[in-house]
Amino acid sequence: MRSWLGPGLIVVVVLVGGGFLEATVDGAREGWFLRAFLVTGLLAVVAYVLLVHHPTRRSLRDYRALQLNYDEQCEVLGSSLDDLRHGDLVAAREPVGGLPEEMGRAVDAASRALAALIQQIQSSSVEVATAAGTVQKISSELASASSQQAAAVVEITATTEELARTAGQIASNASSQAALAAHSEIAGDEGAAALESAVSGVEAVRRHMEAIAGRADTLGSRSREIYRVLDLITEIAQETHILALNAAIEASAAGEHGERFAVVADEVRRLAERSRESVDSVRTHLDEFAGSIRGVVVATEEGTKAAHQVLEGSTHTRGAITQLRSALTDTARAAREISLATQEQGTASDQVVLTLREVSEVVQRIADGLGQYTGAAERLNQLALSIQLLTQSFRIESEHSLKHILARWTRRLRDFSGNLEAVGGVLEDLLEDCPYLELAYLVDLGGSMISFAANRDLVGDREHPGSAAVGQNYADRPWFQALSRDGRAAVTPIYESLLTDDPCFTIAVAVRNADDEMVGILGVDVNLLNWTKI
Amino acid sequence: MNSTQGAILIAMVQEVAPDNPRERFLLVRTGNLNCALPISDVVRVVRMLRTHPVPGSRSHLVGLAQYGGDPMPVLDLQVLAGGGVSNTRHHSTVILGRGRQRGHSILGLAVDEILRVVDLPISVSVGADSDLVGDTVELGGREVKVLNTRHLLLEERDDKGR
Repeated sequence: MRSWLGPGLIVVVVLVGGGFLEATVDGAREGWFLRAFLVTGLLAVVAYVLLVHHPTRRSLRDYRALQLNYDEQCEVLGSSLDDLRHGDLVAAREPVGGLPEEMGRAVDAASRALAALIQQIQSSSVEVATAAGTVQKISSELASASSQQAAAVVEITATTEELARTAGQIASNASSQAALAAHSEIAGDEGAAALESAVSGVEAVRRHMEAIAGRADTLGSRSREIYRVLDLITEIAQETHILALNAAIEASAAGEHGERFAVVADEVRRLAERSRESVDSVRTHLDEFAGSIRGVVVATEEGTKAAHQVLEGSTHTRGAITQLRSALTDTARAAREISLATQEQGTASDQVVLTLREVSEVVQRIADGLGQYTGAAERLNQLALSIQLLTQSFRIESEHSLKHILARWTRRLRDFSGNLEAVGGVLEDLLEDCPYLELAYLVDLGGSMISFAANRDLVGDREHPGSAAVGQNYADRPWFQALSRDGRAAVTPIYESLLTDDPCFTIAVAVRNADDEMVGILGVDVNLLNWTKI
Repeated sequence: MNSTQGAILIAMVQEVAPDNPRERFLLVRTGNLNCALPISDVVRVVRMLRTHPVPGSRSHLVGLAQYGGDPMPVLDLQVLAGGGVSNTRHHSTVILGRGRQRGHSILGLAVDEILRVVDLPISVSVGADSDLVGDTVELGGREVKVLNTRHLLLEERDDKGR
């Protein structure tokens, strides 16, 4: 109606103008002017209708058609962009047929480029994680080795310090030993001189002993001669004694005539007896004298022998002292050399200790740095995992896109229709195909678990927790709620698995029937210790 | 004083007793025995003679010696006086004999030591002829057996007679 407002307004203006002119003018000349005005007005109206109104209406129709097409394309583009916003690069490329060719190519190219970029980021994150793991392992080993090395350096330092202290003690002892050896050398000289004096004295004693022995031997010879004389005197006394006895016998036989002779004979006998007693007394004294001489001889012999032994021992002692002096000289020299060497060793040990302390500090810094390096590698690994999780939020046509893989597996579950045995087989096949998954399960729209399968390689013989059981309701889980809300695949943050106690995350995708209606949810728990196998 | 049973009479005597009748003896020692021999039976004292042992003879016979060109038996005084065989060192020989004529029988007594000639009281008995040992007297603080050497000479003569 508004398109007709312009021409109507012109007609109204013309009619109002004609009426005004008719009311104001008189005569024929003014009638002509009125007619001319009306004709012109009519022509203007016709011209307006033909030249303005119709093209405008046609343009408006074209505009409306274009607007409708634009809206449709905007809806398609919005759908694609919405898919892109949700990371579904596969779905984003599907409605490009409804877009203008160039726009469709541009969206398809953009999706492909983005998918390629995501795929590249995904593979790069795996490589980064692998490299980070390697770096972490190596840096851990290096840190451990550095710690051991630091401990070894500390031990070496302590040992070297002990060595330095010992060297100092050795140097001190060697100095004392050198001084003692020098003192002993002097004492050895004095001892040698004293020994020489003692040897001379003993030599003089030995000569005196030999002289005494010679004198005693002479006395012995004289004693033996005296013994022979005494024997002779004894013999004479005995003969005299017998002779006196026989005289007494003869005097007795002579009777009274022999009395006086008997007295003489008895006196002779007494004399002989006294001679014999005197000889016995002399012999006794001589025996004592001879015994003394023998004692002197024995003593002198023993003294001479002892003097010989002393001289012999002195000779040995002199040799020993000479050797001792030589040894003491060598010892003093060696002790001085040892003292100098140990002082140098102590100085070198001190330098070694200083160097080792620096080495210890460097090693400790290296160990600290390696610890930081390990932490950085760990953080890098976490970053790579975060990137991986970020990339897994996209669905791309890739064997490494979990959403895409699961979307493919959902097609095998499309017609499960209560065949739990078949569902279980499919889930087992899924775990076998994806060894990084520790649990796969199918949940109905009410949130109840229909079937599940656990990866025995990861779970082992552990008992399943109560949450992993058929009939268990998952309606309160965020992934279930998100998926129920917009039907798009959901990825959870990282949490600790109840099955393996390892960090993991869950991806849930909708299972749709042939009419694209959601009939269930396929969920998998990804073990993050094996995420690089994705 | 006779004592055939070998009783011991200890008499205090003096070597020279001029107031009392006396008899002269030769005092000898053999082993631990001191014996007094009547000097009237003593011919001579000599040093121990060289003896030749007689096989199968009695223990008191030391052997045969040669004296003055004649064989002479030498007896062990200690064995004869009953002192038994002990450690004796015979240094002298007392030659006994009856009479001083040549051809009379003599015999030797081997003793350790001939001490001296002593005078003993006449009362001291030399015992019977059949006894060798008579009285025992104390002389100078020592016991001295008084011997009857006549007995020996009789036996010796009897032996020669047999």
